[in-house]
Amino acid sequence: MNLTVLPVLLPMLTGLIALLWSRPTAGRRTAIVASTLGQLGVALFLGALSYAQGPLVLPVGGWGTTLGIVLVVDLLSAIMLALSSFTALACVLYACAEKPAAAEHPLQLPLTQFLVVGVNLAFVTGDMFNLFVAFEVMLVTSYALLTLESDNRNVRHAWSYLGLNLVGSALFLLGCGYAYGLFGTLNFAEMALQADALAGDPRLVLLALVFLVVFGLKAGVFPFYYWLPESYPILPGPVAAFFSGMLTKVGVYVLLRVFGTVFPPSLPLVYELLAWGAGLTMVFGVLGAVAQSRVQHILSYHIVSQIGFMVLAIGFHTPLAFTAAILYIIHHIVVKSSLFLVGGTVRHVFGTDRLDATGGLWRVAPWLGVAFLIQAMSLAGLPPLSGFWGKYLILVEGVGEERWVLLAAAIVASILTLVSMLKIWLACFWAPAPEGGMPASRPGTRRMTSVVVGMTAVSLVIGLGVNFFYGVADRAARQVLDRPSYIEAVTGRPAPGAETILSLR
Amino acid sequence: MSVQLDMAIVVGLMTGAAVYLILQKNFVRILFGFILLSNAVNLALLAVAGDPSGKTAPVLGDAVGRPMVDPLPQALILTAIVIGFGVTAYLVFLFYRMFVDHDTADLEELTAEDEKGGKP
Amino acid sequence: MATLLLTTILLPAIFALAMPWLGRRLGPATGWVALLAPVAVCVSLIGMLLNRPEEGAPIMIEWIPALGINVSLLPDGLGLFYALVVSGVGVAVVAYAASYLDGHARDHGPFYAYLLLFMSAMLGTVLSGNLMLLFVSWELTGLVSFLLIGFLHEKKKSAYGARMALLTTGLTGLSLLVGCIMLGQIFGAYELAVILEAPVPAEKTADLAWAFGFCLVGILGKSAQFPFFYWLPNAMAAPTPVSAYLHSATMVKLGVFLTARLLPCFNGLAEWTPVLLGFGFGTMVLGAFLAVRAHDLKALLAYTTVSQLGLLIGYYGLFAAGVPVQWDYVHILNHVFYKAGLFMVVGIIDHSTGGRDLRQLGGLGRLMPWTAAAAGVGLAAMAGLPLTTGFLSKELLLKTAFDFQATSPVWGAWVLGAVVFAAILKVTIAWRFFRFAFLGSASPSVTAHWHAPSFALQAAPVGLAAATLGFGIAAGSFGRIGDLFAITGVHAAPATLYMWHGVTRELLVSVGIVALGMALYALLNRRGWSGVPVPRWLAFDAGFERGVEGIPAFGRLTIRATQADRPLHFQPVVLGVTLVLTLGWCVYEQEALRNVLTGLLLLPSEAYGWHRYFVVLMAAGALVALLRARGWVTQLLALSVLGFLVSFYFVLAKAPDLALTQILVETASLLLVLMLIMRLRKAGQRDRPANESVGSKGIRLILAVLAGAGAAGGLLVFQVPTVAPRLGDLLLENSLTGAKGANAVNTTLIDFRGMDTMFEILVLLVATLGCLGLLMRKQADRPPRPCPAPESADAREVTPVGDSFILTTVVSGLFFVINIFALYLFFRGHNAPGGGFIAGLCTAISFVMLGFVQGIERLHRLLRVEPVRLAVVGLLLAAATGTLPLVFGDAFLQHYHPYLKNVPLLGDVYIGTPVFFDLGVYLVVVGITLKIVFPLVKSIYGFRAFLLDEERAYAAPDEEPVEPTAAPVRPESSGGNLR
Repeated sequence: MNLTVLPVLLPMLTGLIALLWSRPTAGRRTAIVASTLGQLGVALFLGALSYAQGPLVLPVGGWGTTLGIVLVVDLLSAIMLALSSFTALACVLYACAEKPAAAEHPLQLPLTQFLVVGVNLAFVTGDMFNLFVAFEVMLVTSYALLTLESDNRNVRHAWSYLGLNLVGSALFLLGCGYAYGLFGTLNFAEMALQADALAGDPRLVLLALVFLVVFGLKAGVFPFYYWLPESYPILPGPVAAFFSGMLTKVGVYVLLRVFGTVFPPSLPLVYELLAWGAGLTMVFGVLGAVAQSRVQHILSYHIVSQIGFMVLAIGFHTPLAFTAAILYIIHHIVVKSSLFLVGGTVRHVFGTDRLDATGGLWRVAPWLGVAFLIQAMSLAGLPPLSGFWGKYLILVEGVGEERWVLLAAAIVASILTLVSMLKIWLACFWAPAPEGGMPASRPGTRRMTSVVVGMTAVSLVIGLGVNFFYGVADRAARQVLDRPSYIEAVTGRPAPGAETILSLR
Repeated sequence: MSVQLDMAIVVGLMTGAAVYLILQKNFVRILFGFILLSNAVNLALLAVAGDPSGKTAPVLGDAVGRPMVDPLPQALILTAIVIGFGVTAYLVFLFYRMFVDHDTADLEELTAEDEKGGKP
Repeated sequence: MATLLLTTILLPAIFALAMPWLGRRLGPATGWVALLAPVAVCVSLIGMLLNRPEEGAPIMIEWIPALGINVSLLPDGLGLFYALVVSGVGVAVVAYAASYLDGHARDHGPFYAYLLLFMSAMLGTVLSGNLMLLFVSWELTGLVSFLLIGFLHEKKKSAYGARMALLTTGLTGLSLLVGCIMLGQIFGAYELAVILEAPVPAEKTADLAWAFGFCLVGILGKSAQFPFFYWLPNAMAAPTPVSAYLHSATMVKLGVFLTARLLPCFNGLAEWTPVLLGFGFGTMVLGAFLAVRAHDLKALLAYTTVSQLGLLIGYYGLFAAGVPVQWDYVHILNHVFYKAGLFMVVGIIDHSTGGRDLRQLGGLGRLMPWTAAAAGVGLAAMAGLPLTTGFLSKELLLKTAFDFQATSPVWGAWVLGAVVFAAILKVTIAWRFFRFAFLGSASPSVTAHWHAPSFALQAAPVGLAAATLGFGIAAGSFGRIGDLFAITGVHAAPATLYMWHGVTRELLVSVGIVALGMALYALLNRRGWSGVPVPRWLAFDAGFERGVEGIPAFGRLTIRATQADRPLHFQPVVLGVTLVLTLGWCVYEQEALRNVLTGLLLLPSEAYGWHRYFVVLMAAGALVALLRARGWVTQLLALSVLGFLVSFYFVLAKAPDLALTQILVETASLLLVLMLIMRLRKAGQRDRPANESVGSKGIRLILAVLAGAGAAGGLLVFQVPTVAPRLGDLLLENSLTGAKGANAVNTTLIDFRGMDTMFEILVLLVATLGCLGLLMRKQADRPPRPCPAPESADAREVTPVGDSFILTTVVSGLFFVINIFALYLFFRGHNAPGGGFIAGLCTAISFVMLGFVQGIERLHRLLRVEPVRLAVVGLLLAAATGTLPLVFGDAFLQHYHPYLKNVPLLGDVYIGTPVFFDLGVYLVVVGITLKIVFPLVKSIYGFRAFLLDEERAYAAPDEEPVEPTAAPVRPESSGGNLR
């Protein structure tokens, strides 16, 4: 199944060749756009394939599944791949619309491709240490992008991001070592087998806790999210959009994978920690958002709050909750990154995104307004927009499990989300235009808006055609939770003993 | 089946010292802290390979058949060292840049500008 | 039927899509086109009503069958009744708006678009046969009404009113959602057909009460009942047609609708009657009380609306108490007629006098007789005077109240009292409205802005007034409306309604009510209607605004409380939480963990070797030096000592490759650190003791100790091997046979885990790019300086180490030795310690040395090749060797091991793909090391980090070097630090 390597290989080759190109030109741009389109196609094809036949396995180097590294693409991975390629495509197009090729930073697009490499590798790999390498590719690239276009004022904000992620990497490496010590292997499937054998061993929970911290830090769960709102606002629009869409979601994906597939479903302590941490994340994140007074700052804090919803679902740890989490991820990535692009456009038009310096967009740029309104309301979970359904499923699960406190937290978070979105709406779109009138609409605004509108259309499709996406998310969740089948698909040996919560329903 | 106490002690000492340095304000000390931390973690990975006494290096050529140490952690550490080198280099550059831009090598003074509302 | 009904619902929405486009072309005339939609809806609904299939099964189109959420419609009496109200009033309102929004107004297109969208959402809500579909369209009405209320959004008042409405209904809507979910879980379906028919499972009655509670919040919020009544008056910032449509006739009635809709399902709940009677009639009194104090006509009408809605909701509360509620339609229609009409009247007044404060109006009766007449009828209905529908409604209500009072004295008294009290107040209000607005002499403020309303503008209210009057007189036919829309289970057997029903106690009470009302008017009029409109303790809206405005401050508090704005505290917090979690678990499970270790610890002993503990001591010493020593260079020395101890450990652990790599990498990275230190020292920075509080120092110490303990403890427990054989053993077995390499570490890196290696070198490349990106930057506060001309090669020349002849020759000699050694390491790599990475580092270091003594620019000219390109080519080579197998249909990164047979002199030469993969690694390492070291050196020495063409390749046009290219540092002054 060599296809599974393409989502990693294509962007890497694209980035490298773009580097040899060195000067940004229209030709280079078209090449990158074309390749990104190709990546999207591959991802969708993989999705169709894994939907039909379950996990696709590639033993890299032909070393079988025990000796070497294994790439595994199940439906969830495929979904994430499709989302990352889609977001990358949107961001590249937006970046092209924002500046002429001559003004573009020559390293921006290649580095974005390498970021895609890291993200996609995290999605396809079936090996713990390879996941570490993927994280490093992702992190180092994000460091590079973070400081690439930072000016002499804001470069220092990169430190908050680095300082925490460096600690996280060290902890992750330590965790890999511990995992090898405990399981004698690094392959997810084999680890799952060993984990079942080790049921009841305190070290299993200890290791789970270590990974909880590592991936919680990546996903931005309370109180590990501090790096995010401090650093994201210094990014240029398109890069910020990709960061906001994908990076934290890699953490969520890994949480789903590790606590759905690798570890046996018998870690109530971990799930409780996840659920309550998620509750706090939702509330603190959205409170932070309301407190901000710049578009990108508000949106950055919102990422955190939204992460709370997904992680809460993981904490509930039922098949339906996993479905909810996946549905929520699908919605969130599209909506969030397009909102960041709106923020970028606001910056582009006014030269700043300070709420007190903006206004009048509802008349000047109605399409931008419509897109923002739809995406913002979707984020706030207004039916029948895409954001509602994931939230609805989580509420259903919460009511069913009678988790009233967490339910209340979710409701408070939703309403505060609405409050902060209205803050942007009232200031940027409804308020009268700032003194000195509207800045003459900068070139490119129209094309930038069209990208955003396109993404909005997609999220509308998700919201109205939710039946399809629900079906996909449901199957993806089942594939993640169906440990016996996963183990068998990877190792080729049936594992009837492997625990799974699917049987409970 | 044995647990190397000395390794644990060294790793513990180095990690503690590394954390102590990382939590300081001065760029150079923080840098030292992270270099130290990556070394400590590499040692930890090495320890997981188990007690080497009585075993030979994992180079088969002449020594086929004799008990050998586990090569996998060594490979992992090699990868980790390389990545660590890249990150260290980046850190040096970042600190250099932050110093040039803000004319201070002290995180406290650096972040103090936020209180004055110097946000991006 | 199904398709027809669906198209009927969607028709206005479809029209809406065209409106913005039409608006730009037709301007004010857009409204007349928009009018087509409600008319068509009306017609088709009436058609449906006339030939309605008996108990037609609900129409269903699957939406999310798996979750039981479907687009199913329930066109029963209730639904059709409300649908007709929505479309009928819609006709009146759109017609009214078409002449209300004349040339002065802007954005006709969007206005009608919103209005029609709202119409579709309303129709969807009232006709939906699935609870979730109902909720979805319910929320949509809220969103569209937000846009309508904030239509004049440049005014702060409108924007804030819109926000208040959206937030209040949104919050209560979430509660309704929870209620719906609970109902769905109780009945196992969202289909109303099921929910309304199926009996409640006995064990679920408690849940049903909760569900009722949650739904009730939604109802109270949407219908502006206590405690949510505050948003409606603020929503009056909307243009008047909107108020007439949304805030009197349709949207605010949704709560009433839902009460009726769910009545059969909650019927039998003990809570139903008291709760609804309490909230409903309580709000009725409250609304009337506030309306008396209002001066702004729209606020006055808003409060009477609140009061009337309270009445309607309370009315349903009587149901469970055994009182038939079959006159609900009469009460609703009555209110629709007169209240919508009155709103339009107020709109006309506002439109033609530019004001609507009762205290500034007067004498309009003569100026606009038609409007005055319409207003008179409407107000008569509000006051419940004979010949109007209002009279019928009030009489019936009094009758019901008396009957109820007979059965249950306490609640009955409450209802009766409330009804009578509210009726009295309404008389007062109505008369005051009429007296102040239409009678008397025209006030100056009126005459100032006066321009007469067109008849078209007055047509709608007049029509509504006619309806009020007509139905009031033709009471019999009015009463039959109830039977027309009757739904089984709610409405009792049909009864007839009489305009004149003899001298009953109701009639007498009514007379009394009117008398008392006028008396109250006289009283208040003497007191000059003084007093604030809304007493402080009832000004919930102000409280709400304060709350919303206060949230940001609270948010800032939480940020500060969680330290999320103190980058310095991030690491302590994260580390602390991590340690608490993990160590806490260890403490909790300490016996188990201790049992894991028993008998396995390798305590110091001859057999184990004392030297290991000697190394521990040395390490401890070096650490103390590192922590305690002053001066960066000293600490750097301590650090390098530690590095070498680590490599010594690698030797102990039989890891030659590691030892080699460790030494080389340590050298390279310490070199970089040294350069940073040099730069800092050049700027006069020294390692001074941080002036920090004892507390922070203590915290740091504690964290350090805990972290050390954690790492050590974890290492202890996780060292214990649990499974055998482990992956490493398998690798050993397969290294020679499978990977054709004797050095298992190298085969693991190149063959078994080639994937790791490939991306590890990608990390190196990316890190380098990141470094280069840091060397050029924009200035935040000023445009970029024009780029100075490139200096001459000599001026740019950097020779960190002074050019002493001996050193130069020695290094040049070394250069070749090292590289031959590197070549050797490279080729033996697969079978013995060595390999591409180590070899690459050797070569790179040799180049660095050469550059330092011979001058970097000179080396540049010698090399001719751009190092980054070298690295990129290396990566491409590695990737290519990985991709090659795909051609042969093998797995990615599969390696082949061919030999060139008997080459002269060399014999068989191994040319397997691992060599090329390793070559890629080699090239990357060389390239990136050079590109990391040299630009840094140049920049630190105050030269331009890049040549000009490089700058164009690594920086945006508007960026400039970080170091102001000042006078170059004298080599001897700085070289000293290096020696």
